[in-house]
Amino acid sequence: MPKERKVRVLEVVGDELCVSSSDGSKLYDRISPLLKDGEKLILSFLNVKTVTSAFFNAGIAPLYGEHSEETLKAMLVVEDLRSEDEDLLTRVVDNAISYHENPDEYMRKMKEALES
Amino acid sequence: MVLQLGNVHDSLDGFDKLAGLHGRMRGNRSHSFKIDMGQTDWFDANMCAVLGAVIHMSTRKNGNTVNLTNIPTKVLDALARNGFIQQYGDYSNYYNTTVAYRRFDFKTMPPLPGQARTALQHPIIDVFREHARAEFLRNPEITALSPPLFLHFSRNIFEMFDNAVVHSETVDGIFSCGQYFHNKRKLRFTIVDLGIGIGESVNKYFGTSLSSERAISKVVKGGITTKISTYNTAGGSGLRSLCDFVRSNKGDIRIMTKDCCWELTCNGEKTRKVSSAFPGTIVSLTLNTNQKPSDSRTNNY
Repeated sequence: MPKERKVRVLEVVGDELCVSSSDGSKLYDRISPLLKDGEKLILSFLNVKTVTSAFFNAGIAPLYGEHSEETLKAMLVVEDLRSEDEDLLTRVVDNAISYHENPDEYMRKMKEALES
Repeated sequence: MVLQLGNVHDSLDGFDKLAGLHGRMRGNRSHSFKIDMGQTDWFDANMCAVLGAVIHMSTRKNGNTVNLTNIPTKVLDALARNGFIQQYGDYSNYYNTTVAYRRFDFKTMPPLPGQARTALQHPIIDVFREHARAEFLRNPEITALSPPLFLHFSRNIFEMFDNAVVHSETVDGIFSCGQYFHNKRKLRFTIVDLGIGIGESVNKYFGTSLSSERAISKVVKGGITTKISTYNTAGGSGLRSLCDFVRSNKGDIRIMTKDCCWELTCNGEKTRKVSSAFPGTIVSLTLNTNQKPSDSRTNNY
């Protein structure tokens, strides 16, 4: 059984408004090494009042370049997140999965979309 | 040199006029400019963020002196309420209908204790967060919003600011200003940077050569991001989400980036190429604050 640890986003960021890429980087810096050590994390958003896509993009999305979707499903549990914020997280995660599946292809498609 | 400035509305014409003012001062070094506002009957207060950026560009970057003169009382009143004109003289601040004018400077903001200043750790966000709390999130007009509107509003103003910080590559800070229209139940909020612009940001990253016009039309549709190099992941939903929110709120959003103006209003989208480019990007948002009735839940910040 992997060691289980609760990480409180409010404590990591130090603010109830988790709204910037730099806030997200603080979260990433905290949880990435723990996941690499094989710890199971409960990521609690208790008392967090606002989150943005910039926060999730910097804090959670890069983890999908380090672990498989299945591993993260098993090892990273999110709790106390409002349903509106869950929708936002799902969108960010879906995008991150598409990118990390094949970054070159993702970039090629994006360039193609720009030039079309 | 005296430069006349007429009426300035939060509109594509207003953006164009202030970009034109920048165009007339551009290329001059150590000159003295007087911006004559004698013919200005109207100046939308949130546009102070844009005028502030234009004056900053001329004074701090090019060593010019810029003064505002012949300001009619009504306009002076509007420019004083948000603290803008106080940057240029001794005026009292006696109303509370505006969101304060502010320049957020990278250079004067110390790193947080124990943190080195890096691209990923901008203490500027901590200053903006406190500003937003004081100016918006604790304002009775905003705390009375329905919880979903409040959530989307607070999320989107921070997305706008983060985009300016991360994408613009500016070293000249971020300018912001806003205004409440109590009777019309509207809120305007404007963020300005003096950075590379959306077109160059996209072209630099993808090796394309799109015009600002084309780049912005693609970026607002979503799925295009230049954040990959910074965070090793794909982003690109911030501006699209902002536009979705504006549509659902029946509000307006206007963007000027370099030589292109783009707007989304209840009449649809409109793009215009302008002759005098703005030295960065302006994003201006108008929201309807009475879209849904407030319920019993309070938004306590």
